[in-house]
Amino acid sequence: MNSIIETNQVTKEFVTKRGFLKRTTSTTRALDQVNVTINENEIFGLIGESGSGKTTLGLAILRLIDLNQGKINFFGENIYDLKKRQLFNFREKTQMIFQDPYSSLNPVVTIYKSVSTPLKVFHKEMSEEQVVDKVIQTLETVGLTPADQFLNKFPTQMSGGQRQRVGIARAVISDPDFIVADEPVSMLDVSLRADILNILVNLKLKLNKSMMFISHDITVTQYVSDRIAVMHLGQIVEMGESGEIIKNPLHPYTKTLIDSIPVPDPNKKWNTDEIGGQISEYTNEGKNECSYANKCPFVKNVCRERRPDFKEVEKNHFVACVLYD
Amino acid sequence: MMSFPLLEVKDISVEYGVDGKTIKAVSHVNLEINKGDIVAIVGESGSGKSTLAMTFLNLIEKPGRIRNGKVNYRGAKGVVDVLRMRPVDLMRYRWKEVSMIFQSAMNSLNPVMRIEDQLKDVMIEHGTVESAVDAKIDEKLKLAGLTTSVKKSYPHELSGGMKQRVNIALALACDPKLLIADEATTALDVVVQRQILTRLLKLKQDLSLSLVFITHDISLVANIAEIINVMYAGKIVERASAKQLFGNPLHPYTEALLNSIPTLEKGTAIKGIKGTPPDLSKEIKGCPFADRCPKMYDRCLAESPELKNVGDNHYVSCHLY
Repeated sequence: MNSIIETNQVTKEFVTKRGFLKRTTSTTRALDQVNVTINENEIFGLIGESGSGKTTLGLAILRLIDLNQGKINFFGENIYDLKKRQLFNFREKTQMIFQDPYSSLNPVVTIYKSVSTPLKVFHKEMSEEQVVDKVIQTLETVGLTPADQFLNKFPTQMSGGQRQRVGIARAVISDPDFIVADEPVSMLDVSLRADILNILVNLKLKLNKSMMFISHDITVTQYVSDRIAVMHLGQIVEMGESGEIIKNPLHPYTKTLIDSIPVPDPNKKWNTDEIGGQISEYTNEGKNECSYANKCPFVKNVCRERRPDFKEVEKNHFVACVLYD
Repeated sequence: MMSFPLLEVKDISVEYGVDGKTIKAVSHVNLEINKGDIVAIVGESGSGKSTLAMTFLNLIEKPGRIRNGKVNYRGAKGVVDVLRMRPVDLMRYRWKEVSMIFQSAMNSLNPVMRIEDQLKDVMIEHGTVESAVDAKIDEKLKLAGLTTSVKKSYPHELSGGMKQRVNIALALACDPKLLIADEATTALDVVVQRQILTRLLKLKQDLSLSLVFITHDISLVANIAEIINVMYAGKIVERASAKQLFGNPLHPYTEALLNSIPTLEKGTAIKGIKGTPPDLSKEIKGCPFADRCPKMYDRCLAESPELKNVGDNHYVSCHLY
């Protein structure tokens, strides 16, 4: 399988200024030496708690932010080296689906205009009729049928699920190779999620798209993804085939995540053990220790002395934890 | 069940008047909450679950209005209708008898007040003596699973999970008998969600609280709630114990809702529910779920089904039964 995205030691720091005359600064590492490879025709799931850097990685892969360190290859070419013209082509071939369908669509612009804009930017040669045809065809792909009834609607006339479909249509209309879907169903009701997830899976199966699916919900992620990476405070702590991650989680953090999923079965007792570690705000300050050491129930001295290596423990199953040294 | 209900909602209807239209958010709902019960109200956004919960505290404000019905609360002085309480009694009832954890942890705290001052405010206002306040603040923070050092913080210094715990501490400030958690964990990630729920269950045991869980995520309440109410378009369409509801869902909406949950078992395809909920500003003649229902027949369009007991305290409003 060919890789479409390859990140190499990607690091991004955010500096916050505080105090009198903003002289106190503190640095947070949102991404800390991240190496991931996303293959062609694959949905790559990225999970982690809020603040773990998932969205930052998504933005970095689309070159929507600048990096402090590292490089990201798209079909073997470092996207941070692209010049104007090449960058324009890269923008056509990569797209994003946003979290909030209520704020990601311009409320005073019709659905037709929203969805057709990418074509007007990237395919100036297309005639108006061709654009209309393509918009209708794309709206139908995402299940907005009959499509011609939606063209002149405004976002406020549509439900959340319909709006998110518009968001997907807008992302796929320029026929991108790679899409970042950032929490695409977290704002939707459970009953509406299923259809959106099925649309995303079909983009891969029928249109051969590759995707990074970002979510804090591991159940939803495993439903769509081929492989899953688990992020914690800017670091990838585990990565593997999604079935394998669910059945055989190795990293203590992944285990806690999976243990915390509510099971829709009244016969299973709720796990009432208190989870080790107090909740508090930890941030990654780039210290030379395991990012999970402060919360881990299995923490040892060595965890605070060095970073665990990210290594292949079983075939295609990577973990960064000293327990598997 | 011989015990008298702690809170009894009788035939309640709530409307919102918006842009000259009347939206019937809740219509003719009956509900009982017994002492020590954990009751869940599950439904999609716009199904009226939060509006229903607001009536428990008589919190409906313009443009909303309570059309008819009663909310009977069994307090120390016998049964009173919350909707007809004098303002001074209402103030004693809210927080002290029934309190609520609101949906967004991020927005329901005052950003310019220290945590201790917010707790103090509530306690003093509702009759705690000044000298006892400090000890009580510490006690409530500990109950909510927080260290007492949090009290000097401002809300922006705390994480989402910690803020939600402060909300729990606030809700417990005046030792209520009934606690309503309105989407209390929706904005949080799974690990924090589990911590918060575990804490609430422990409180229920230790303080013999009654709990009402309001959520759109039915899988969340499967192993917590004793009784689950499924709401759709302002009505309760099914009520049963968690075991009955998951083992033998009767209403086609409940069934569809259960089929739409992704589970960790690979290979089980999930299905969404076709269509959208009905426009509640229009008169619905038949069953509100009729146009999305795979089992719809003539009668469903003509006549609205009643919520009835089909045996074993399993209630459903569907013409199939």
